[in-house]
Amino acid sequence: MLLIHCPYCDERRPEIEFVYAGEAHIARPADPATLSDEDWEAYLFIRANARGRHHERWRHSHGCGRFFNAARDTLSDRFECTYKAGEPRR
Amino acid sequence: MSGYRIAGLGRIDRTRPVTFTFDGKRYAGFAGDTLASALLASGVMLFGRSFKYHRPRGLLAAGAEEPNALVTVDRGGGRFTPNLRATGVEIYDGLAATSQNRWPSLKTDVGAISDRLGMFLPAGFYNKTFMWPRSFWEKLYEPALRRMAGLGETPPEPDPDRYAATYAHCDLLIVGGGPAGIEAALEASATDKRVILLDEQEEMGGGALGDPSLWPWLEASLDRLAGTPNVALLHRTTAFGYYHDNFVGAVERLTDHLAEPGDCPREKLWRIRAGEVVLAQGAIERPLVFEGNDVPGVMLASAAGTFLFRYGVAVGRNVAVMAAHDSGWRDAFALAGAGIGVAAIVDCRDAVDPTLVLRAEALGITAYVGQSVIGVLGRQRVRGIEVCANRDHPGGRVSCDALLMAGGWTPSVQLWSQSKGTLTWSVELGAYVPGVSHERTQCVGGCSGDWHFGDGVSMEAMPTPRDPARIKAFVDFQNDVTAKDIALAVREGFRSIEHIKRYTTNGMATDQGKTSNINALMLAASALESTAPSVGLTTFRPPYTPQSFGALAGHAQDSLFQPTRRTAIDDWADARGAVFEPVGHWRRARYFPRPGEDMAAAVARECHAVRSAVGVFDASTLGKIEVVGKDAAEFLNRMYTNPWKALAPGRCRYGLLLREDGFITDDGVSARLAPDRFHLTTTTGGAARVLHMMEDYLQTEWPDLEVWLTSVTEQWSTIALQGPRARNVIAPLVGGIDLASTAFPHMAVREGTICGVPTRLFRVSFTGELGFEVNVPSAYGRAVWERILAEGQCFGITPYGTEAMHVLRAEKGYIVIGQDTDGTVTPDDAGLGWAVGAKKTDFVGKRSLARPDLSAPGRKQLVGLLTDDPLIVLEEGAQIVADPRQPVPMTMLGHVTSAYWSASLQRSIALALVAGGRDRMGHTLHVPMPDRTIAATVCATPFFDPTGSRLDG
Amino acid sequence: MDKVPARYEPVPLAPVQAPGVSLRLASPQWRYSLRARSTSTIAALLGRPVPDPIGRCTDGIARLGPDEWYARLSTPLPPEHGGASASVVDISERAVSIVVEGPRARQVIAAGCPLDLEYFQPGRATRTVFEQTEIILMREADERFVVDIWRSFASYFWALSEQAARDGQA
Repeated sequence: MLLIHCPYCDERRPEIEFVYAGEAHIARPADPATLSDEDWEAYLFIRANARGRHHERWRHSHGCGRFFNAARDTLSDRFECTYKAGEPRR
Repeated sequence: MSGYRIAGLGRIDRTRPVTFTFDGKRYAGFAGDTLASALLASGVMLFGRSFKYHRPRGLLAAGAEEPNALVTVDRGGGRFTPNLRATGVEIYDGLAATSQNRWPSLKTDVGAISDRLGMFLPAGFYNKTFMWPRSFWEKLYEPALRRMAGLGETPPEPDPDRYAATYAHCDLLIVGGGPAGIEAALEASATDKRVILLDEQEEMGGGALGDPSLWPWLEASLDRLAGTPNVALLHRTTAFGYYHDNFVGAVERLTDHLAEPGDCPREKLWRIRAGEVVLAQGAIERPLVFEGNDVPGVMLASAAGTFLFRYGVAVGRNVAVMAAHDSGWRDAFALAGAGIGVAAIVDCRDAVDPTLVLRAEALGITAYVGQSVIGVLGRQRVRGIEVCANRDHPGGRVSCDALLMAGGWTPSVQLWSQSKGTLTWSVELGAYVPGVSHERTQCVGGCSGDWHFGDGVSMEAMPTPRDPARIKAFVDFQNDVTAKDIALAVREGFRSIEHIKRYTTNGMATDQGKTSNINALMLAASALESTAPSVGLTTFRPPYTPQSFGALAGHAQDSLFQPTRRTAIDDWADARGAVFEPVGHWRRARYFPRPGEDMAAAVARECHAVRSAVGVFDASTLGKIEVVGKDAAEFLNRMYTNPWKALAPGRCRYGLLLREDGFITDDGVSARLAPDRFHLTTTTGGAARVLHMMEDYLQTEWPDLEVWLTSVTEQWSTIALQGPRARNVIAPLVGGIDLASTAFPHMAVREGTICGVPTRLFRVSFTGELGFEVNVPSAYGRAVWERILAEGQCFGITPYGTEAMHVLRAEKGYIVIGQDTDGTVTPDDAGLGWAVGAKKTDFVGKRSLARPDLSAPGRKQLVGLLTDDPLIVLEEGAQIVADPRQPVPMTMLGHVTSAYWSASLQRSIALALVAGGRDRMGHTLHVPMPDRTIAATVCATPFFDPTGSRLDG
Repeated sequence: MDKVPARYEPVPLAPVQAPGVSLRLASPQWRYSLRARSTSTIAALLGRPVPDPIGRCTDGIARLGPDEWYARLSTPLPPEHGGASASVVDISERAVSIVVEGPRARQVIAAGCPLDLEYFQPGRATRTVFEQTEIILMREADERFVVDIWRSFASYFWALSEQAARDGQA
């Protein structure tokens, strides 16, 4: 069970308090109606599935309840850093 | 006692005799004995039969690595544990242990015929032989093989024991209480670190327990640790798994060693988070590979030492040693020093340390240097050995009653490897040793390769003049894998050690190859004409030793298996004999049978009451979310398919929620309580999912919106009153709300009181009847429910369950998310196109609805289905076809999603998802079932009261 | 109007007394979920200071997250909130409070809660888990924890912590 640093609580907390929430930094288009089918498909379904450094979202659902972002190595499972939602990619 | 017990040696308590049985026969031992040492003391050499060939087997080891001596302990009353290593079973008065894998008895085992047929049972035998004919596999081969093979039996009864569990945190976790672990604990005891030192045995000390010269140090050290409050010692505790961020799983055995377990948990699961981990798990001596190396009485040299000096038991009176390592000589000298006859030391090395040879000479021991054991005399116990020089092969025989193997040492790197630490091949040690750590962890002592047992060589097998293809030289004792099996796997083209492992099953038994992995690796490397490090090593996985399911489940047993959520009205329903069904983690009353009623009769009566008078239903499990903030309406407008901004306070609206991919995920009726406050409802199962999804959009996509979401599912008990008399029932109980139809129309909400407690009163209907949903603070749900029932007696009020609720809603064509939808259904598919705001520019899922495939013709649409024979109720999930005479596989048009007997209509009804369903109105379709094909006609819904005339009562 | 009907509680009213630890249901309280973007908004709304660091609890008010406070009060808040940019939701009956008290209280909490309680000293409060349920854990004193748990999960928590209280004696 990983320890995950919640950037809001500023504590390392047990993984069991968190849920994974998919790849990070995929913003919902401001006006989806203007997107082509291909672009909408890319937004909905196409993911990096990185081997190695991966930006992903987690939620401290059984803690402060906040979504946040993380950079994690999918090979070692190690978190490099976590940061608040809305902050630029690290 | 028997002549095998040696006076004056061992740590056993000779003042406390213990009696026990093995295979029904009574034996005696002493407190401090294991089953293995006590039986050995009584002259027992035969402990079990091997897995595949049913060969007689004795003890190989004295510790957790023991592969052969697996026993079952049956304490009665369902306390039944198979596959325990006799070397780890502490004896107590009344212990009843039995051997395994033999029939009818250990000495005479008919399965041993497979040993004679051994040449027909090579690696991969099962895969190759029992392929044809296919039908024989299930009925004949597999059951027969399973009876013959397998280790131990499955407990036949439920486990009556309780298991405890806890989390624990420390700065330093030390795994292994041998000298290295104790030294690490002593060092840390001077700091303010929180330290846990755990060991799998009943006594700390590890290898030191078998070396009397270390006992004074051991006693003094343990005294010091006992007086150190920051060091916690856990005995009989096995660290079985190493997980991320220094999270280590361990099981403490609390009662298995007690004659009277009492009302105590049997085991305790420790979930330990450590700042730093020190692994001090020691090393395991390696067997040597030669013909006959599995005859009872052939064992590890170190084990013989442990049995003698820790338990006071001689494994033989006249032993021989087969060594590839200096440690075997030292063990022989120690045994000789204690009065045990040593008939020979055979060493396969061409030259050994001359001081060893001189010492052997001084003790009168014959040394055979540059020679190897090529055969063992005796079948159920060792009677002698055949020795042969490595080069010129002149043979000779030596009489002995035990043969001790000293094949060098394998560091116990299982947990290290689980922690993702790398392993490095040490040529010098002929073993993998810890390399670079991944976690904050280090290995000390034997498991780091740091030992002082002298030198040795690593041999894949002893040289022999005999044809290697015709001898059984065992590598994996527990899974009966021989050297020639590994050679065969390589000949047949397997190259990866992971494949060789799976093909031969080497290392795949309950001991996970503790004594066999390195020998198998060296044999594979030799057959591949490669080296051990380039062949690699198989992956280590938890558990280090087998653990009980009970311990791993911890608290999650019986009624605590998982939380069963109960409403405030659940007790009342239980007392009234309700039949319950699980809905998510909730249990909900399905129907309330009266004496003599079956489900059909009860549900028909409950439905009739709702349609003719009034029914009352516990809807408390519905998810509820309070949405507050100045942008609340804007937020809901973006989330739901329909418009929300114009909804007036005091009014309700049906909300349909899609995922961004355009498919329905939830629905519910929601109310606007104030301009900036909504009371949302969700499905029972969707409550947590919907809140999570809404939080996601709110926090990450639209953080500018000033809106907050609060789950109020459990704040409110929800009591649904449905039926023409619903208003009459609550009228005398409600305060501050005008219930008249004009003042309080359908799809409205009012706040007031009921029975003197605050209520959010909804006028809504999931039945098509006049209906109210009474929300009251949960603490009062039960009392208000009972008052409503009392008040409704004169109107024939009838409690109804989820089954009647389903029938009533299906009669009206109302869908249930997850039953009539399956994650691939759009609003239009479900006939809910009306709930999509045509003028809205955006909402979650809107863009997807415009994708060509979501508006293409031929999509499955939800329609009504009426069987031609009105008495037949279709089966939910049944497939639908157009032409039942078409060849199999038929083209399936869809499936039945809901099907009930409708008491109101006196016929069956069904909902179905059917391709192009709305274009098939009036068509007859067919539902093929195993025994018949059922014809049914596609129709529109609702089935009942299509004009909605009953909503006002 | 009739008198207010009887309350129903999901766990026994009689405390559990085991050596070194007791479990009991706390008296009914007013509980609120208070949401706003700043501590000062909540302080102004309540007319008193509220904790600023996440995970702190003072005078029955805990800050659970960046925009979330959890109040357990002996008197109700007034229904009007003066148009503050805040959310006040009455959740008095969403959960019950179970008091775990005694020298072994920490051991009972640790049976199911993965937090390191050494670093969860009196004055701390947080949402976390206890085995398969979510709880709000508050440490009021060295030997007194308060667990707020949703009503439908309360019997699970009660039974499990009662077992842990008994098992620890072994």
